[in-house]
This record gives sequence, C-alpha cells and structure tokens, in this order.
Amino acid sequence: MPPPSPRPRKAVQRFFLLGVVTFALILAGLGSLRGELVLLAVPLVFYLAAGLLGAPLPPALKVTRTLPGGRVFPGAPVAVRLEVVNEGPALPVVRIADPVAPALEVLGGETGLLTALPLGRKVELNYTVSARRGAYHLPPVHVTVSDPLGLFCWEKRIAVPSRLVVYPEVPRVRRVDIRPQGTLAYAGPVPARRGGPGIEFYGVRDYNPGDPLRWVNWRASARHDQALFTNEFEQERVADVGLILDTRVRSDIQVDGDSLFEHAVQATAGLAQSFLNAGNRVGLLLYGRVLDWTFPAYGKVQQERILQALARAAPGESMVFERLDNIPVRFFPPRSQLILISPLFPDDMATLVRLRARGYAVLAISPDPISFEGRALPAGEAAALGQRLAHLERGVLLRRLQQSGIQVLDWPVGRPLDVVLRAALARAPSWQRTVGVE
Amino acid sequence: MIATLKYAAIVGAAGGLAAAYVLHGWWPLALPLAVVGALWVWGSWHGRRWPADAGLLLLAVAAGGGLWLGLSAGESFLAVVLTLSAWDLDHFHRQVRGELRTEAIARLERGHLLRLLAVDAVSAAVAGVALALRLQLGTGLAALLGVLVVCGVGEAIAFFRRESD
Repeated sequence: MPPPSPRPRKAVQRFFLLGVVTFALILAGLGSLRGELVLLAVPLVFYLAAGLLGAPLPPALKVTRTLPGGRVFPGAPVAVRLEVVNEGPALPVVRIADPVAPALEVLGGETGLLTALPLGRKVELNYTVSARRGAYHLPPVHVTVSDPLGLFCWEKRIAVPSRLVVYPEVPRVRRVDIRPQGTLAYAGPVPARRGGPGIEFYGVRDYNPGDPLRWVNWRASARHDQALFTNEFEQERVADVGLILDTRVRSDIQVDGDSLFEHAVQATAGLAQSFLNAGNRVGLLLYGRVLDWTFPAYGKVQQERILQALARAAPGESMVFERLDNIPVRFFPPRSQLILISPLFPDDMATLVRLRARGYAVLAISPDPISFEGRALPAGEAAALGQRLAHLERGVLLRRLQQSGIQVLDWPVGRPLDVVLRAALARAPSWQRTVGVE
Repeated sequence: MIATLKYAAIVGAAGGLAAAYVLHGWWPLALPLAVVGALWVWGSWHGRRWPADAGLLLLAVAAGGGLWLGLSAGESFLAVVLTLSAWDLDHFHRQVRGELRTEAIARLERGHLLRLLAVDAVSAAVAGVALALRLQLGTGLAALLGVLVVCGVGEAIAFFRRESD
C-alpha cells in the first residue's frame, strides 16, 4: 500500500491575521495618501515574505514503531520506541506526536517531540504504556512541519501498522479429568472406554495365547475349570475438547472495576493450556456478538492461536446469538468433550440438554454471578434475602442440569479455578458423576 | 531567554505606545493601551493565544491612528516592530513550552531569533531610508502601490488555491 500523501501545505490562522493587518495598513495609507501608514506595514510585509520563503517542502519521513516481542499481559509495562528518519529536505520545525490509543495508559516517557530535522537525521521517542487485555491497533503518527515563523505548515499522518496484543492472564490449571464418549487415535490421558494397555482396571475377558501371565486374573480363573481369564485395562487416549466461551453481553457483570467476563476468559485460557499440554486437540468458540471459531488443533501453536482469540474476546450483543440455541454443533467432532464457560441462564438449559443428547460430554463451568455481584450490595436484610433467593434459583437450575447428565461446576470466582476443579472432580468416583453445587 | 524577550517586547510595544500618547497629550487613550499590554502579558503567562492576536490588531491600529494624533512616524514604526516581535515570540514560546519534549531547543531558538532579527533589521533599514529621503506618497505612487497590492493579493489567493487542490 503506498504511503498516504501529506495533507496540502496550509497557511495557518496567524498568516491570515497578519495579512489582514498588513492589508488594512496599506489600504489606509493609500486611501489617505499618508506614506507613514504604508511604512508601518513594511515590517509586516517582510515578515510575511520571510515566512513564504521559508515555507516547508513536502516532508519525506521514514517512521518505524517497535513493540516488544513475546507475550504481553495486562498491566505489564510495554516499551514502545518510535524512530523517525528524515529522508527528504531539511525540516526547520517538526512536531512529532504519537497519539496513544485511548485504551492504553502511558506510564512514562514522551509521546511527542518538537525539533528540527536536517537531512538524514534520526530522532527517537521512547515511552511505556500498559493496557488491559485486548488487541489494539496503534493509530497513525501525526507529523506537522512548519516554517520557522510558524506561518505555513504541512500536516501528515503516517500510518505505522502496529498491533499490540495483550493476552489474558493464564491461571494454572492442573489436569482436568474428562471422559468423552469418543477419543482420538493417539495415546493420552483420557480414558477411552475400551480394553487394552493401560493402568485402570477395565474388565475381565478370556485368556488369549500371548497374554502376559501377570495379567491373568487367578482368582476368577480358580473358580472355573479349564478356563483362564485375563484382566483388561482401559486404554488412554487423547480427545477432542471444544471450549465454548459465552461472550454475550449479559454474561458480563462489572463490579467495582472487576469483570466476571475477565474471570471467564482467564479460566478458558487456563483450561486450554491444560488440555493442550496433556496432548488433546482443542478448539475454541467465542459465542456472543459473532461466532469466533478457532479450529481444533494440537500443541503450542494452537495455544498461541487460542490466547490470541481470547485476547480479542469482548462481550457483545446479537439478536441471533442471544440464546445458546445457535451454537453450531458441526464445529465440534461427534462424541467429543464440550466445556461451556458461562454464568448460565435458565434459557440455556434446553440447548445444553440437547448437546448432551447428541452424545457430547458436556461440562459447564459457571462463574457464580450471584456471589460476584453480592460483593457490591449494601449490607442489609433485604439484600441478603434477595441474594439468598437468587442463589436458590441458580441452585435449582444447576441441579436440573446435573440431573440431565451435564457436569456442572459452580465457580465462585474468588477462589482459584484449579482448586475448585480438583475439589469437585476428584470427589466423585464414577465417570458419570455430576459435580455438586456448593 | 525567549520568555524574557517576549515580555520585554510586549511591555515595550504597549508601554512605549502608551507613553508616546501621553507625551502628545492623549493620556485618556494611553490607559486602554496599557490595559491591552497588561491583558497580553496575562494571556501570555497563562498560555492563551487570543490576547496576542488581539494585542497585535489593537496595537497596530493604535500605532497607525497615532499618526493623526501627532505621533511621529519613527515612534509608530518602533511600536509596530515591537508588537510584531512580541506577537512572534509569544507564538514561539507557546510552541516550545508545550507538553511535547523539545529537542535541540538552543538551535531552534537561535534560528528563530536570527530570522526575526533579520526581518526587523531589514524593515528598519528600509524605513530609515524612506524617512531619510522623506519620500512623499503622491497620487501616482499611491495608485501604483495600489495596483501592486491588488496584484499581490490576487497572487496570494491563487497560490493558496493551487496548494489546496
């Protein structure tokens, strides 16, 4: 893309004011035939002429903006360096301003400079910013070149494509036990519901020649004449995991500058990292204003893709995606594990039950909006009663989901997700377990 | 240094013109001129732009009008030169003391002052020659100058039209 041409040279307001005064003096002198009046205009005429002679030529500047490589996390200082090289005619007075995006906070350094730039000279601006999670496009650099007397100027906006991606915090989430009906071909940590090499006892079958003797179930064999039985273990494979982050506006609750949605984003990042580290294939769907789909894949690159998607996740509203009914199930491989991160609303239940009925293993991790919002409620009997009623209503919803075979994790966001996950998932013995509401 | 020169020029322009009015017996007109000067100093101190523009306009008018009230051409000329310098330095000072970092401030200041000094010196030389020769503005010369002014304004308008296309 060719660089944008500078805006035309323009005479600033000072030029017109001075021109009017000069013109008035001369006209008055000529009209009254008084040479002294014309004489008074002489310094003004020379001043205007000096400005006109020194009027700047179109600037030719090379501007580069450097941002640090690697991941940037919320609140961390980001050092920005702006380098401007004059590749054209000498510029007597240059004003360089790097307008910082409103969402960024300048922590230190200079974002603007007034200087003179001879041919080939380079100047630098160094400043530090910090930002909240998000993907930011830094705006063009403003350059104003004027003559030494400030009567004429060129204005130029130089686009320096720079993108600052502030990743979400990634909380540590240790292994999350899932048990989808379908698994993939590669060995991994997910029980595959079929016998074979493994660790967990799966069942007993007839002895086949070649079975290791240490697998023979001697107790069962002793009860039958002329028959040997072999223990079977459950194979462990990797699985497809689909993460669905609820980005509908109503899932974002703000209390004292803290956002429930941010907690949900961080939880999603932690879960994605945990599942990918375990070798699973993970995809991500942001469901809210639009559908933002990160195709399932393995490994570190996928982790980067998911973090980038989470960095740009923002709550949004759409008539189409107001309810969960329009989750595109074709995005997720059949019989895979789905994990929905959402505060959950009564009208979500039907969709979750339908997903379960289609053969998906569904785990709903629900940041608790009641206790989150309750922090800001004034102390009082009415508030306590209202909160209790809301808790009861939510409890009923979660219990009905559990009864439908959906795993539900009620997560008070004040506690680390990892602790809540371990406490909830480790307690129940069966793969059919549903996680109790605390 | 720029700030000192600026305030000196404002005080010199407004104060000098007021003093000239008082010397020629027009002291009631000197007071408004002193007020204009004070307002300009106040505005300049607070980084306001409009008092400088108003000061330029009013002091130039006062210098021109003084010619009818008995001020000499030299006095009025000096007032205009000081007013112009004050107006210029006010703008430059506002520019360099803004929120931006100013690099090579000494070079910028030196370049600017030299240019302003050159304008003032050339103007003074031309005015000095004109006053020494006691050039009279007759009808013919006035008409010629009028034509030149009209041509100059026309050229200026054409120039800005070209630039903005």
